[in-house]
Amino acid sequence: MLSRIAGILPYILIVYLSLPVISALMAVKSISAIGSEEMLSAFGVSMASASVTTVISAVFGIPLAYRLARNHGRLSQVTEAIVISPIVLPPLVTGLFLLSVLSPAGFIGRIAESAGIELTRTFFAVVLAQVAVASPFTVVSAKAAFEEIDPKLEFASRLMGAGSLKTFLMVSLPLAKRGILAGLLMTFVRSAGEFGATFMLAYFPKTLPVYLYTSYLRGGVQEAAPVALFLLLIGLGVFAVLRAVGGGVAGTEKGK
Amino acid sequence: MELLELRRVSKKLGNFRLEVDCEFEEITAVLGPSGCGKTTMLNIIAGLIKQDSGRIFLDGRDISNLAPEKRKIGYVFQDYALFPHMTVRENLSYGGREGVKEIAEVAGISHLLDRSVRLLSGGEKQRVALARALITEPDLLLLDEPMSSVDELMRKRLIVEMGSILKNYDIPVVYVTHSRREAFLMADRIAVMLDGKILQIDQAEKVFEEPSNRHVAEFMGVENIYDGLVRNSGKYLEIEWSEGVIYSTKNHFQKGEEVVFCIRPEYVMVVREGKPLGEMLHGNVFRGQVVKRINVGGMHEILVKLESELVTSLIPDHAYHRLGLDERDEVMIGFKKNRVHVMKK
Repeated sequence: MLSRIAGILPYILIVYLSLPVISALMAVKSISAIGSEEMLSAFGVSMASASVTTVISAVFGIPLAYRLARNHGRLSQVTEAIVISPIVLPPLVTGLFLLSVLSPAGFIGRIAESAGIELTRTFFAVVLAQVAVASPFTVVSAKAAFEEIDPKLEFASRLMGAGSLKTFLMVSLPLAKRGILAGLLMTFVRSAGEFGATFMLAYFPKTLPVYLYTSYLRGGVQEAAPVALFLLLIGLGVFAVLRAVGGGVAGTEKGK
Repeated sequence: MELLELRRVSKKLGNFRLEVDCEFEEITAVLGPSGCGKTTMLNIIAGLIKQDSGRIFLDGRDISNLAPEKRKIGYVFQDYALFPHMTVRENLSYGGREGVKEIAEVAGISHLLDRSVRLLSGGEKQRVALARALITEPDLLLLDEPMSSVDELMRKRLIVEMGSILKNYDIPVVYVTHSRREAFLMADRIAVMLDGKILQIDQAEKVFEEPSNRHVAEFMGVENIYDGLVRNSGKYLEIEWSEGVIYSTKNHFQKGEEVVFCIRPEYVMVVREGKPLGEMLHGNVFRGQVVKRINVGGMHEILVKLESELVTSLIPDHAYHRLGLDERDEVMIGFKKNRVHVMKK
């Protein structure tokens, strides 16, 4: 009897987890709402900002991940804790902290404002919020991938006459590419779906999740459902790409 | 012939301390148990780990602080560290190296050039790793346990092959291993490393026959090692030990000096009662009892208990059968004077 109950448990979770997909499909009464101009604009902002965030995460996050993977000192551990913190913090909290320094009343915001740059309520602000929340996924995944690489492979490259930069580009990066790609995709999908921090820092221009929220306030689930479906499709698309790449989050080529 | 010199090189890693001051030339096997610091020493020589102090010279050139890519050192890593995302050819030509065809021929891997390294056998990988280390035309070659991923039966052949390839290169080779057999097959010289220090570096036969101290003797498989006190030093050295007096031709010790002496099991003779003794055995015969016989494949190990000490004798099959020894039999064993090796305590 007990074992039969235990056998059913997984199915209950599967059914529950598939509810959002099913309900989103059922709630969409009119496809016409998907084409609204406001929504397309929000879609554009989300895609553009998520792309920029992903590029920024790659440029800054991959070298950081490599350092963290190769240094195990106290400083490295503290750095890692700081880098991971946005993953464990509620995005609203991250957004609030960001607002306190980046708004015109904040320390950095004041300096930026005197230089004529506005750090809130702009496209740039959207990116700032997304980088704060989503770039750690790139760092964590890339670090795991770099750690999988046998350091002897990098030594071998050095002894073949390649400097450290060339070694990184020719050996470390290609061997870690799956893990890095998985991290970047996670960063992209987190950015596209980011609400809390973006909402605090950049209510305008509206991203898809912020537009979803305002649609809901305006017309309830009925109104918000098409937007939700859109976000769902983006998420499923990225998931499909992840599967095609063939790695889990920490997937990487073995070093042997 | 080029020369590698380590001058007072030291490195502390936790509780472990490496301290090396010696020269490497020809093909030298660094022989020591795992964890003795062999790989750490290679990594310091290659510049992959920075020494705390000391200097390294390669053919007179100070390489102590050079980046690894500037040292002109070839390194065959344990497990080979071939680039897994490349073919054999790409591994060899890495960094735009020329001469892939020639080196592949020398190493006997021409037919493997377009294979992915993932699909190679242990022996093939090893040959590729050797070729990759040699294609850079290094001034020094380091090999870290290069036979560890090769199956037992292939080992001897590969060592002989590797030896004949290396003969064409007039550079010092440092070959790290924990196997005495490999060391003797491969090397002209042997360095015995224990606990972060090189205790002896000499011609291979010398390390085998004349270990510099008790630890080297133990590591080289000399089982009969005893403490003694020099009683007199004349034509022969007279050493007092727990079984009486024993004579040795190694008479460069002072009266009253505390020493350690040893004799390899194959030089311990089982003497038949009443048979006349030669000069080298005369006075060096002791009475004991056989406590154990072990067949070690064509040879027999006989454990003999004297008054208080245990002595191991290794005798060939035919002698064993002629003697017809049994456990608990009384026997006379003799130590050849010129084979009793004496060391400072």
